[in-house]
Amino acid sequence: MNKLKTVNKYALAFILLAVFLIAAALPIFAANPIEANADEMAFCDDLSYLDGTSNGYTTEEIKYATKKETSFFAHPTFPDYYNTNSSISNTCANSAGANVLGYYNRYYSDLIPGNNVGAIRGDMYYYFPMAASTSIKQGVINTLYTLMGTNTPAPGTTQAQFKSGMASYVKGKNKTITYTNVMSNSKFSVDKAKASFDKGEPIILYLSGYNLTDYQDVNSVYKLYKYDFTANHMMVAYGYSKIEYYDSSSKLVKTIEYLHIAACKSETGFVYLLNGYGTMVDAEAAKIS
Amino acid sequence: MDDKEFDKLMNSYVAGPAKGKQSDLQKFRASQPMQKRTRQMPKLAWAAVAVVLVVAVSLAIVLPITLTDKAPDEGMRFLDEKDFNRQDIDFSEIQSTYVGTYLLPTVESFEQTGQLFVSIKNANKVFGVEVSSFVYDENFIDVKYAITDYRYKSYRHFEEAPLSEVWNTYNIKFNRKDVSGFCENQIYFTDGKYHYYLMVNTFEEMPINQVLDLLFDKKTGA
Repeated sequence: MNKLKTVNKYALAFILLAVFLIAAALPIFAANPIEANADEMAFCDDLSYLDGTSNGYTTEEIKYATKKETSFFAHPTFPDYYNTNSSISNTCANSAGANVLGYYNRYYSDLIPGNNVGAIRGDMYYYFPMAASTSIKQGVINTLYTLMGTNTPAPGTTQAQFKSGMASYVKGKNKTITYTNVMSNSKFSVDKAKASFDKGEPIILYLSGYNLTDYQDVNSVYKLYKYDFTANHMMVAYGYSKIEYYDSSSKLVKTIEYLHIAACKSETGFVYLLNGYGTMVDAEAAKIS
Repeated sequence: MDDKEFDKLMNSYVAGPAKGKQSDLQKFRASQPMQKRTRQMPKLAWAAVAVVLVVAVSLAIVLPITLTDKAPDEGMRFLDEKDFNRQDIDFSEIQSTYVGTYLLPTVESFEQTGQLFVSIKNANKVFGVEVSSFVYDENFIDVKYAITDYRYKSYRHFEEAPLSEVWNTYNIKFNRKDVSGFCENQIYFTDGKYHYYLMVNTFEEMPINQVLDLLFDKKTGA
């Protein structure tokens, strides 16, 4: 009798353990954001400041004798719009859309009527900041918030919602928007990006975890400040830089690659470090015509 | 082994205890109601499994929802681990309210946007302002600054800027970045009570003292 009871106890314990393990494993498979299709992910990091998901910055210092820089841009300057309306949240997709519209607004004035978009000085076109005709720029973000269905049914905006909202907006201005994917084997393709930038097309980045990186370059010391975030986020890239650092014997000691970005947050002056923290889920060049 | 030995061995085997009458297992089987035992245990086991399954399925549905909804920030921001919100405010109101408190840039600008940093945890106490100014004159493109009671986590690396100057009575830390088409100046200083973080985009590289002289009206006490 006792022996049989022990056997059944083991059997019961085994079943319970198996069920528990299955239950524990299911959420992991279901929740894995890296494996998920970007169409189903929500991009919603609206934190204007480094939040609890970041442990502050980490630094990296490179001492060098010489450096070689290679850069290319859709345009060397770019809009840097971000949400200033505290009554709406999770607005990075809306801001990303507004930045793309703001960029093309230079060529198509009716995309954002009345917007003080920028001016030429010398041989450079300067895009004006968010502070210039703020209400009009914010109006576009508000409109995209509605058109994209942001925060419906869950916090943030999916890639599909972003595209749907953008298509709807530009259609209302008798324009169309098309996209060219610049990923290759699930990684950002510099070659494809260059082709898009050369055509003057900015690239929308869909990120699961991301970095905002700043740098100092003084007296042959290059120092990176890397802020890491765990949230999903969207931003817009308008240029690429690759810097190769050599020591005094002309030996390559470090290569840094980053994207020039509109961060779609109130922070300015940061770049997105390629091969830095975070996963690039997708990247698409946008063309409005 | 010869035939005699074999016969003896077989006889002793046949003469042994009768099968099924003296083994422990037979005694046990004879003393227990078999049917009752085999039916009671599976019922208990299946009931337990059913309960666990319900819990497991519930968890499998609920956990992915809570885990995948990342960054449910609801517009909350954090500054030095202090929960805060932003609150839109006219720049003119910032000027009138904080002109004697903060050292506010006075450079002429076409437009400004202002926001207050409002603590959530500390009874909606205002502990800083952020202003973005569209200047676009002969020197400046735009100026953005944050003035806070606390060290500003997002721009804390400004405090480690590699260059320094003394401007009036303030020890200025600053960094310059040559970006295509303009120069980005990051400036930090403190008056001992408040922290000042300035991001100033100029068309050309300028001495930092000149930048600050142009930004601030010296009559304000800077």
